[in-house]
Amino acid sequence: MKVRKRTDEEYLMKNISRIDIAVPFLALKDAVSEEARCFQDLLKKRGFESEIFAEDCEEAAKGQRRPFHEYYKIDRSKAILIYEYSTGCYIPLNLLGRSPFLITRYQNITPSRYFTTSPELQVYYDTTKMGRKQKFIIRTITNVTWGSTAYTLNDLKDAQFPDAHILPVFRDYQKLFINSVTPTEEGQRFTEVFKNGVKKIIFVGRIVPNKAIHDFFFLLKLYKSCFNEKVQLLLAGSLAFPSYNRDLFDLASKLNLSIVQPHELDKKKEFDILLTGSVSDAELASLYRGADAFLCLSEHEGFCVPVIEAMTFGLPVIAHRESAVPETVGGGGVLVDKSNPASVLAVLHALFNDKNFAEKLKEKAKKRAEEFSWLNLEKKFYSCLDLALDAAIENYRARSLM
Amino acid sequence: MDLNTLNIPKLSEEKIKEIERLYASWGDLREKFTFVDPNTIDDTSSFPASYVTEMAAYIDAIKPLPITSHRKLIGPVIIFCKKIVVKLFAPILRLCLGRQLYLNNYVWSLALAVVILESRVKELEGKKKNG
Repeated sequence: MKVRKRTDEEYLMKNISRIDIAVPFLALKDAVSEEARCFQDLLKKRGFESEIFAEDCEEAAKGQRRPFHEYYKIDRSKAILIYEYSTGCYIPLNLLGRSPFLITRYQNITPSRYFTTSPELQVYYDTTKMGRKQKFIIRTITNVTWGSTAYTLNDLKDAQFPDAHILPVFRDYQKLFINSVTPTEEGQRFTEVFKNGVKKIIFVGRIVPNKAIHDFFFLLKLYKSCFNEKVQLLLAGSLAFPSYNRDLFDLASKLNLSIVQPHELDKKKEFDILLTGSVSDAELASLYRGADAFLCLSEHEGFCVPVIEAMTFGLPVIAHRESAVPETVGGGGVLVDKSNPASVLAVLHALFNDKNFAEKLKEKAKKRAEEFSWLNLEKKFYSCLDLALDAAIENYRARSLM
Repeated sequence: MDLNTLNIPKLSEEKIKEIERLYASWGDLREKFTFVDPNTIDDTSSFPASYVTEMAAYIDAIKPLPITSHRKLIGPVIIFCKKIVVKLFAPILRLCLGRQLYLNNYVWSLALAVVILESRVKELEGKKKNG
């Protein structure tokens, strides 16, 4: 159906004046929370009133949200709600029967099988399981669906979500790069690490099983043993699950790999793996700038933001062909199959020893990153929003006839 | 970029064998990092039961049906007439079917809630059985 383009004033005249965002949990740094804040800014820029409602939040993000139960205190007669569907929570159940025009934003839910190894992960197991089951409920109240990739939309296929569009995960990817052009004192914490001239592989993301951090250890050991070359691995991300961390330390000692954490850097100059833990933006930028390759071996990703971040820094990207990663990488990196470790090692070896190949990959990465510039993302967002607004007007018109 | 399209030097057969041998020797270590959901319901499968999913296609009562005719010669005329009738009655149809849609949503949500609760009970029973 061809939709007539309306102007912002027209939308506002039709009384669709507020578009709110609901998230299960608002944090300071995760992809969903950051995107919610971006959406809020963009909506305000277009003249809409917009607030973030969250069921729960991090202590530091408390000022940025209103508790979700307060959503029913506002006038939502012609409101639109963007629901960031990222895990199981009680928001969809609360919306049943009294939902405004609902845009469901889906970035994917990690399969619960990754949370079965320890009783301490039970809460993650339950919420992810609940989240996946809720898709059949959310579908009944959804009017428009925004998936981060075709892969994530496919995840919703069996529940037949309506009016589905692809909208990449939102954030200002260039900001990190631009802000780090002038090095700050804060970003100096890891500068010593890069002075030894050893090639460095980086991965950014929480240290959790679905990111397959353990496979990095196997590949690193294989590389060192088979090529007799020194390579160091930088893993930047919070150490989320103690039981998994213990398994990783255990694996490292069995493979004879040395791990250091930032507080040990002064004493241990020689190491194989650096587990940075949670890092600031300036520190993250300095790690991207110093690394030689970005490797992603994740088994499950709904988008994988660090791939685009790394590309923005012109880092060659090598990624395991799984879930939504191939879509995100596009033509900007090399896709490999980690079940065939020889092929991964061949690419890494070529990258570290062939300057032309490395340059070619860097160029491809930068070109791909441009596709995710703020301007392009903004354009995509507004075109998806226009379609949703038209659908909302039609929907409210039909409802008023009832 | 696909690996096959890249012009990178291939590893020697010996090197590949060495890598594969070493990797295979870690079978036990790798075993620890395979993640399987012990519950029977796979979290990526189309749960709940397929009939509930099929029902989803019929919830939207307002969604217009395709207007067709099996007649060859006067078919286009009949389709044209049907379209006019549908357009004329659209406000009334929307009025009636809108309420039907509202009800469908409720009924379906309740059916789902029952299926979900049932599965949760089964899961808890299973956990209790396994201690």
